[in-house]
Amino acid sequence: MKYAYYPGCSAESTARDMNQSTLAVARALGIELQEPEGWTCCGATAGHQTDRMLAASLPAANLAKVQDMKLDMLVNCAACYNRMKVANHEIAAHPDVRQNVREALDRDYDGSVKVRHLIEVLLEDVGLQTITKSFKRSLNGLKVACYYGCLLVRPPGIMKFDDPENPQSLDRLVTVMGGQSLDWPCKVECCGGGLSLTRTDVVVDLTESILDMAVQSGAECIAVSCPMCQVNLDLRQQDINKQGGKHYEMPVVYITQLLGLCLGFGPDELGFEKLMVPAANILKKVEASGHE
Amino acid sequence: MSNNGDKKIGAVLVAGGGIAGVQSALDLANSGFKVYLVERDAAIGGMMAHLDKTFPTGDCATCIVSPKLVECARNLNVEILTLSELVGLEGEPGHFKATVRRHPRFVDEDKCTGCSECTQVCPVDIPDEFNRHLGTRKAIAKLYAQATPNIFGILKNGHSPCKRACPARVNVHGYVQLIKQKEYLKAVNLIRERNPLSAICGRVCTHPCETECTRGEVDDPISIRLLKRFASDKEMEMLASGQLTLPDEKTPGLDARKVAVIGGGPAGLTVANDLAAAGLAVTVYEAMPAAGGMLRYGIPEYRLPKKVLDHEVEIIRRKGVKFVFNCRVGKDVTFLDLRAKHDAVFISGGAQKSRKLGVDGEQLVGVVDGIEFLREVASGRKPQVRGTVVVVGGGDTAIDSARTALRLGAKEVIIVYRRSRAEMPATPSEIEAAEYEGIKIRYLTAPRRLQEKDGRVNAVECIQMKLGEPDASGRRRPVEVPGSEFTIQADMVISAIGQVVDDQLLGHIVVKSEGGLFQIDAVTGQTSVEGVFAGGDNVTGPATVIEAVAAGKRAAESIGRYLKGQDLRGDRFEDFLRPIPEGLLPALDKVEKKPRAHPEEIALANRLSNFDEVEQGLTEEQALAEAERCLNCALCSECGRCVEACKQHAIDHAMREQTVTLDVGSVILTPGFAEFDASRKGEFGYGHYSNVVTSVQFERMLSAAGPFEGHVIRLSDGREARRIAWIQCVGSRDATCGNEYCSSICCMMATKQALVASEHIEGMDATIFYMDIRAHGKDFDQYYERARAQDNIHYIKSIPSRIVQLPGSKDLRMAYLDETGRLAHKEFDLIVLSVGLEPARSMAGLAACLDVKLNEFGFCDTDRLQPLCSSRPGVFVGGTAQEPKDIPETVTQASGAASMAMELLAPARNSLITKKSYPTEHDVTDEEPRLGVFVCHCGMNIAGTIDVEQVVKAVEREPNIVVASHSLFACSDTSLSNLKEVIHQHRLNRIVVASCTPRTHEPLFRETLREAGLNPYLFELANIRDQCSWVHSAAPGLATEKAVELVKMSIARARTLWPLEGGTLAVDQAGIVIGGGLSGMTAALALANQGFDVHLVEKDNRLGGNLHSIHRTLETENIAAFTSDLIDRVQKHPRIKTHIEAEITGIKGHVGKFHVSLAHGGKNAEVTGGAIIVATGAQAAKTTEFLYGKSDRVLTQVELETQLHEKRWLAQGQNVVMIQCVGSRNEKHPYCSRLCCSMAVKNALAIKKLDPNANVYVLYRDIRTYGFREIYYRQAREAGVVFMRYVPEAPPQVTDDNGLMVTVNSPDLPEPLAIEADNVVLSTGVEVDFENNKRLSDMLKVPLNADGFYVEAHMKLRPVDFTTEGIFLCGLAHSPKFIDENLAQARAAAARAATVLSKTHLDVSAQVSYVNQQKCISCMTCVTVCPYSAPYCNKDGKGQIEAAKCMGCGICAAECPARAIQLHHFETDQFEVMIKTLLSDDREGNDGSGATGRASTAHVVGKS
Repeated sequence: MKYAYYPGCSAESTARDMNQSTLAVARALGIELQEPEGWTCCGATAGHQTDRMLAASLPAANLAKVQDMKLDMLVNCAACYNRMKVANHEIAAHPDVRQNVREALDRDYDGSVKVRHLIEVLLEDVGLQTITKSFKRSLNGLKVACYYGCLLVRPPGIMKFDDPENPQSLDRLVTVMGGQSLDWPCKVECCGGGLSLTRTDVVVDLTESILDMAVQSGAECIAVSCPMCQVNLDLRQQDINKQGGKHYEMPVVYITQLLGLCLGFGPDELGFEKLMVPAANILKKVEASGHE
Repeated sequence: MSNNGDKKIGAVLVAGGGIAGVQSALDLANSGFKVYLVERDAAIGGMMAHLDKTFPTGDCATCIVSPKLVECARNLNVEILTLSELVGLEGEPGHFKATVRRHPRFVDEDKCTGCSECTQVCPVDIPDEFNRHLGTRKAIAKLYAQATPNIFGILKNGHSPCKRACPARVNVHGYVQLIKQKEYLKAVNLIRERNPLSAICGRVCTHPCETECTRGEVDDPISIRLLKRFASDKEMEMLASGQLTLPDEKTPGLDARKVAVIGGGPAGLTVANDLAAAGLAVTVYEAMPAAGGMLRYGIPEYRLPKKVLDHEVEIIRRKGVKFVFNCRVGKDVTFLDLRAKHDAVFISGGAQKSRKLGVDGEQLVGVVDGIEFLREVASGRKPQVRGTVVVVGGGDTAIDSARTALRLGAKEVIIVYRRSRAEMPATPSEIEAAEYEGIKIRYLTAPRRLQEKDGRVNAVECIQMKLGEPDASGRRRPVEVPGSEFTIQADMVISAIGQVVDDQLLGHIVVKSEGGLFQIDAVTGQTSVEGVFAGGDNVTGPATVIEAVAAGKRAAESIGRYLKGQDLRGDRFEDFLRPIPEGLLPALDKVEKKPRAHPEEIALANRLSNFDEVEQGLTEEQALAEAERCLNCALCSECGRCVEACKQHAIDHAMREQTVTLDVGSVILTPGFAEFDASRKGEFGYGHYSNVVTSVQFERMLSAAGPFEGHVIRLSDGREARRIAWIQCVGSRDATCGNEYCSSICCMMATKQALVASEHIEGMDATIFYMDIRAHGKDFDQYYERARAQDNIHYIKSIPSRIVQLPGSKDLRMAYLDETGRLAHKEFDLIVLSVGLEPARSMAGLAACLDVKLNEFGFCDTDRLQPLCSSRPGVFVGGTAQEPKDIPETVTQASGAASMAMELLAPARNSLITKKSYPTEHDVTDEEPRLGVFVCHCGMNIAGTIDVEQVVKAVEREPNIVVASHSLFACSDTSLSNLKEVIHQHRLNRIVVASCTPRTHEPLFRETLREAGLNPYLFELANIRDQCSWVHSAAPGLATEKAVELVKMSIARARTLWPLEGGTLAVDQAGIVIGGGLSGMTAALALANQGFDVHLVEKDNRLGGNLHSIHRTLETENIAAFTSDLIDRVQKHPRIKTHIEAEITGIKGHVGKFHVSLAHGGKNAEVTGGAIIVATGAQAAKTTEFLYGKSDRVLTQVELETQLHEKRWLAQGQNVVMIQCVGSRNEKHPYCSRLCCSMAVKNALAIKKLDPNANVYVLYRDIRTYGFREIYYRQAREAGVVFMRYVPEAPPQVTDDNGLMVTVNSPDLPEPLAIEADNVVLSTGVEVDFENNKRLSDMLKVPLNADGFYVEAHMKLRPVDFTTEGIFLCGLAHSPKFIDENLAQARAAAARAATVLSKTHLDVSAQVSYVNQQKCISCMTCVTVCPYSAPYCNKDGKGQIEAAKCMGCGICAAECPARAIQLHHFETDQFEVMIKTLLSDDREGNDGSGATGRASTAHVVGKS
């Protein structure tokens, strides 16, 4: 199992913990990852909103590199994944877009590179059975609200990732990890992603309603697979608590961090120290499972 | 019927038994055609049967549809084929051959009386599709309570995986269900049908059934083996306690054919059991001193106690099986001898010889053969066992030997096995048990040599193995690891590496063998020698008990056939098993996980010193919970309880699919629709959130006959729902799911549901989220306004994008844009998704079979000018199969389609119909009343509450009673034949039946009286079920008393009954059509084409009416050509006499003979006919609003259309503003004119086509482009037409002060908008000529509504009839509608008229009122009150009743102040005598206590 791994910019900054845990999980499960030489930004959130050509060309620059590697592209950031797939779709469906991309990149790219999300690879290529066999510890009944956000599943016609309204893939992973995945109603609500810096007020409103629902559903943590979601949900709890007199203390972790724990990695190997809301409750539960 | 020559076939196939199909069928059958009504479901009724109420009438849907269904079922010329589908159609119009596939009902339709005894015992609960999975139904059930035909049916999917996985095909599903019902003995009997070793297999079976159990995909498979054991143990317990005795011993007859069975193991026992049960003389030759084979001598007691084995052998023996023990074939008796003395032989000698280890030292003392060892122990001898025992092998024998050795005193037991655990053939649970008991297993270890000390074995020299490449068995071959030898000390070695068939046996029996096994035919089990069969281990090598049983079953079936000289191969048991098709297995996602039951075991400490059974059975509680986990994969479990319960012997589980071919002249397609699958709109959470339901589910909730008896509850907690929301257009007007069309009915359905729910729920608050409210039908808008005016019903024009279920409460939160465009949130208890209409699921297949074209959405493709014709000539279409539509339009179209078929087959009318003839009526005038009283049990329905025998006793001595009896089902064929006989035998002249209800059964009994030569009015029914046993089930004693009184009242009344004769009247077989527009011309043509003469009366000076002002429609460009062609055809038709410029001056007569006087250019004339069709039309409404008439740039839509057509319209490149609802939907005209939205879209599109730069603004209230017209609305928006909403409180303002200016204050815009208009176009709607309609309606004596439109007999189900018989209605005179709808309705009126005109004579009911002329005081109250205009003032100035018009309702009789009017059969004295009887005080003497001890029986208590 070898893939061209596109980490995306956030993997090197705000989401280093995502990257770190992704690499750890891949290592443990025998997934070989190779970064494309000289990969660049996919244009997510700012670039793709301003210019249709930029929106296709930025991902295409990376996809073309992967095409040369003759591998499938593996992405973990939901925003990157979304951009790559939409660009592929645009380029394949519209000859004018393909022509423009050709001009921008100085080479032709046909939109044919297979873009895979880490979750897809885990479920389809590695398989739940193999994953389960590799576990050393369990989530020990931890109540997890799986949060997919909007970019992973939408637009459904292009992403073709799980059920767009009630996705299950993260929940299945949580279940085999021995966690209790919650049936809660905000799995695919928007957290405000791209407006994080420009309209913090909107983001605070949106994240508050998501956090509120997670709390009401009895969640002990939220599991995400998108750096944007993670930052919004993790970082804004302070603001919400200050503004609305709430007392949220909801750890927001990457699914790869949970997988990493169960695969036997320590929190320091998975970037747990980077979380704004500490995940001590999770670590304690997983720790306890090891002593059974 | 042959179709040679040109003679057409006078029969029609109607495909689909919803209201459309039923209407078509009735119209055709009532006008001389044979009808086959083909319905896929188990009953007719379609969607209407699901509905609670109908809008806007508020009728109970079932109450109005049921009579039609019953009429259909009773009509001699309608043959209903339920569970059937049309799968092929060959031939030409007039001569088709239709192929119909009939699925089995598993219940004989002729025998079933609908008593429901079967359903009461059925153990299987499955999701109820009729109630849309709100609740469950039984596998045997009626489709719904009022189902027609009123009979039961069984749902089967195939056979369950468990049953099919069992080698012996034991009906696992069935016995699990029986255990669920605590019917343990029945469960054991069901098991024994396929496996006589029930208790044994309950202990030692390897249960392949459990591996296949569907429940395993949810959590764990059902513990099937232990359930079998549980039931079997219950049987043994009952025997032990004396509650049950063993069956009597049987002996075969002297002439019975003889069968020899060699070997009394499981295969042999099975054959013996089955053949002895079939009456054959079976002898089992067994080498050992007792029966059981390996069961006895191979399986240790701690797994299978001998008493269990003995028990089952004894049951087999008692069937007449003879056992010869200690008789070895080949030694004590020869095979040839057996063959000579028996008619057939079964060989099941087993595999009794152990394989040799093949290592040095095998002959040493202390080395024993495992089988031998176990046999010794089983025989009661105790071999010496001490020290360390090494067992070699990995099968069950190895494990059994090891565990036995442990129990016999071994200090240590070690199993050595040469492969790994994964390859070990022993049962996994056995391996675990061995390990648990302390036995060590050394895998990948093989013995090389047995070492000796003192003449005894003392050690096993072993070598380590590793797994190499797979061998022939597919398992990896063990390979020695060089240099890995080691030694295990052993005091005893048991070799258990497999068994083979005894060479001697193989050599002695002269049938073909190969590789040490007898060879048989895989299907029949027969060996190479005819009449000699074989099975079990000596055919397969060592295998399981259940496989041996299966081999026995196979051979027994063959031997039975062989001895009868039958074919051994065809139609074997196996051939009847069908797998459950993919996709029909139960849905697993919602199944709640429940743990599998685990039995207790004897504690380790207590088990090693004895051979007590280790595993205990399940407790009753465990067993019941376990059985409850069954998912009923196959639906019906074939447990047999219904067969046993059905006293009519109507149930037949072996019924199979049939194909029939029918000769028909025409086909009408009425398959109806399917509702949209709401789970496709995931954002609403249907199927995920329990409080989100579909509109059809909500309908079932509201229904009193529904799963919650009319209570609207939340499925999450059963609480009554108060805050309810409706989301409209779920799956309609939605391109994302492929359904761009409007479903037409949902707006009204939601409105109705909100109104009805308001009545059900106190404090209910309803919110309807909609796009446009489409209340375009007759009287719909008024209904909608009424709902809108209610404080608790809110309409919000917004479609929410998502529903969120709140954790905990499971309330539903919805986000939507409010009227001000702001995001709002609201929470609800229950959300109803108004699901759209899609083509019936069968439609695509049907269309393919019939070669009929479908449109882009999958509905039957039709032309707006040929709305009833499919693409295949001779195949017509009606109802929602053509386009989503409401009930009245469906019924109308169905009648219209019937007319199409009648026109095609006119020459064949009356050629295939059946008319019943009766014997001459027996004259009873001068006879004393001789009464027969028959009390019905109605199965348990009546007899369960009322003591029917006591009722009979209480009345049998009443005066005039000749016969009194009771029967299980008075309505069964047998009882009815019996009734006829009794009438003859005892010369009865009055009959009283005490039973269910006259509503459904009176006609049946009256019919029987006629068949017996009695006048049908000499019958009386006492309702002791609906009005007694059902309502008083809690008080059986009082119910019996009441029943006695009811029957006595009926007896009293019956004495006063006398025969009544209805008259007949001749029919003038010509039709009169009033109005020469589109509808009138179409109706006239339809009748003329059917062969009737027609008078077409038109007041204008030309035919055509409004058609002349229509130039094009949305779909069709050239209406002028259509119009001129139509007029031409009317004028040239030889049977149509046109009366132009004719004014109607008077109408007289009644159905069958009307006289219409005409004033014809100053001359008077009269035309006559048997039926009248009113098609007087309507016209474009006038207006003075919005400067119409003041500015020449303000036009109506009709004027715009004409200008566009004549290319006179000049406002190019400029602004056109259209205003909708001008003069409509207001106080003056509260109705919606239906056409104007589409007309605006049509003209707007025409303008845009003419000049794409023109700006067209449509100011509207709701856009009502229903059905497929929605597509044009979208096209208009795409073309750039701007649609702007206004509300009636703030209508647009049109000014012409400074150029034409329209100001609109739209709720969807932040501020008022002023548009400079070059043209303002007004959609003025449709209105009738009120004065003219009033005059005509007075002459016809039919009603008009407040708007001047004619009022039909019933808005839903009689849309073209009037309450006055013989007069019909169509076209705009009924209500505004489009050309295609007028065409359908005109033909519908023609079809209805044909039901009259096709007859030469009409029967006049005998049950009519009559006036006593002496008593009449000439007040004419009767004339005023009669809804049917039957009474009139005769030449003497007295009231008189026109029998032909009287409907027998009795209103006149009740209202007559002089009591001069009586209604035949319901005379005052007939009621008085009933009341007197009730009030009389002689009850005590006759309450049955006075009756003698004479046994009351189910037969006649004769007195004559």
